[in-house]
Amino acid sequence: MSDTTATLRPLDPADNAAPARSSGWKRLLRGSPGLWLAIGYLLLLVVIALFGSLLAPYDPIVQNIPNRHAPFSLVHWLGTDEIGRDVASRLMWGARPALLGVVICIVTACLVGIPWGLAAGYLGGRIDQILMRIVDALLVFPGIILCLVLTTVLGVSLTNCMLALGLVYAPSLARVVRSGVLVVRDREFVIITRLYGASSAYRMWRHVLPNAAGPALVKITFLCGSAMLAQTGLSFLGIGIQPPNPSWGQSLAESFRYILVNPGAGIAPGVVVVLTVLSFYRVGDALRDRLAIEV
Amino acid sequence: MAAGTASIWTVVFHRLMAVIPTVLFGTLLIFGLVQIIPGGAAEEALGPEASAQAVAVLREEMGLNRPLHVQYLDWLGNAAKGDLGRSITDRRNISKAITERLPLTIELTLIALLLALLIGIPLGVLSAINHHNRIDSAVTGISGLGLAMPEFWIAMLAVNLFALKLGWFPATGVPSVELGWRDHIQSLVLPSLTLASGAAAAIVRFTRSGMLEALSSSYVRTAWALGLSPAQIFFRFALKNALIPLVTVIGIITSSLFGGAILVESVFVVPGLGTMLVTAVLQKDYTTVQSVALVLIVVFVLISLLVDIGCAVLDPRTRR
Repeated sequence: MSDTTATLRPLDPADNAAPARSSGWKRLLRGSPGLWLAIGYLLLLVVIALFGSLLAPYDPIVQNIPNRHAPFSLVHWLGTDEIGRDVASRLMWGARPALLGVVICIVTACLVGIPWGLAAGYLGGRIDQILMRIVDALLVFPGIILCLVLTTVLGVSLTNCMLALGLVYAPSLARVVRSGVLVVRDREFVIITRLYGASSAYRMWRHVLPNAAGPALVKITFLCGSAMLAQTGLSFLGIGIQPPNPSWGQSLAESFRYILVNPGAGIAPGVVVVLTVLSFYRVGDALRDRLAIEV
Repeated sequence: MAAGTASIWTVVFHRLMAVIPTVLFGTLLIFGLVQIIPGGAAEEALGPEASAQAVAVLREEMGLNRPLHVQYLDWLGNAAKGDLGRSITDRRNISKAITERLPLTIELTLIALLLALLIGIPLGVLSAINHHNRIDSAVTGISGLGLAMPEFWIAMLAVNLFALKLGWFPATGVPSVELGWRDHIQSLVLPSLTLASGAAAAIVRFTRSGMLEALSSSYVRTAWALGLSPAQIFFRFALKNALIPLVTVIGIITSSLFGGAILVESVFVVPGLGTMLVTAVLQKDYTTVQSVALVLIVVFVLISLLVDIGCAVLDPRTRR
């Protein structure tokens, strides 16, 4: 949103002292505690995803039935679930598959979507028409239906369902990359490399792609948020990580089943998911504002 | 009718013609996807312990030994006649199951669309009129949260508050209309509100930005200068123009609602197509997945067609 930049004081002496190149990024960060929180939260998630298995106070799948549905306490920070497993530990263990799922999805979307958009935008003509017609046709259908069909075909597992989701996201990324390419394709610095005898592929990777990367980066950040949302939704349905392995969606699904016994159980996993999605969106907003200023 | 604008019937005809390739592409996509099952559909359906003979029998029965294009055309032809075959897991007649469940899914989606518009547009206008003050930031904040909250989590919170604490609505299940339309509507309130939440948040954002753009335009400035009342400016001039960008995204919003219905149905145990699709996916029931996906896509394309035509009726400028 533009209000992050609007609240900045334009004449800050520190800005003048800062080197011109980095001052824009610095200013963007300084004016917005929300953005800092978002970045900090995402970094924390990465740390927990990497070391959560060491940090978690309890084993995430060991049951302790006499102590089920325990409330928040110092012993069990976020209480225990319906078979006495520590909720905080399950959430910490769940961070790894959650982020891994997002990574699988985004890498798939990039591997398919970026070459797709590059080819369409750069080669143009008939190829562009055909490739974009396919994109339009794919974007018409609700993504979750295609994702469910693909997951059935590939077999139900976290990797497969995030692969499927990545394929579903690829066309929208391709469209963004294509429009980015169209902006720079006919600029002088690209045309001039042709005079030097650069190959088409070299020109595309070395000159066109980096300059079209901005919009793609923004799109990818937003897709990260959507992927996280979709992933928890799919594991809620039981498509994705299989129990008893901890996953955020699964924790939510289980707490929903016991909503009569312990109505507060779904709050902690839900808050974790919402904060993650919000953080991705916040970073995406900031990137978009920043790149719109520059580009 | 003004010169240069096509008649509404021409528009209907053109949109209908455009629908056919989309539907065909969708059928090819689904059919093609099911073909790439590693090991084949019959082997997968029977599991790893099935005898070669049982697999051969099922392959023959499913018609998998015929050439692909024959299978595809046969499937398409039968589907057009309303025969989608039988489920490979429980031998159920798929067409019958779908006709029983489809109306509920459509009903849920349309009610949610209506609710999303009824909630989203006024909030978006409110937000734009109060640009850069507390009301605006509150509305933008809530809509941002609405976009980031998983639908099933909203569902859980709603069930917790409205069904368990307050007891206003039933928590799960939807009784059919024959058992009393009151109970039926009452049980649809929570699912449709949940489904509408994300779409409403998106509509707030579109309405807000459309309104802001309209309010900063020269015709609105002229209207202020002419001394028109704020109500006239906001609703007679700005809102009408602000809604145009919204109209173009209604199709996408309907699409996401239709997809979201699958999730929301599972949460609230609504006996619609979504629950059927999810169960079939989990049971590896390929014929059912294939058929339900086909029906969902066709219905979805028809709904977008209706929305498109509706927009063309409302705004002659979209009749291209």
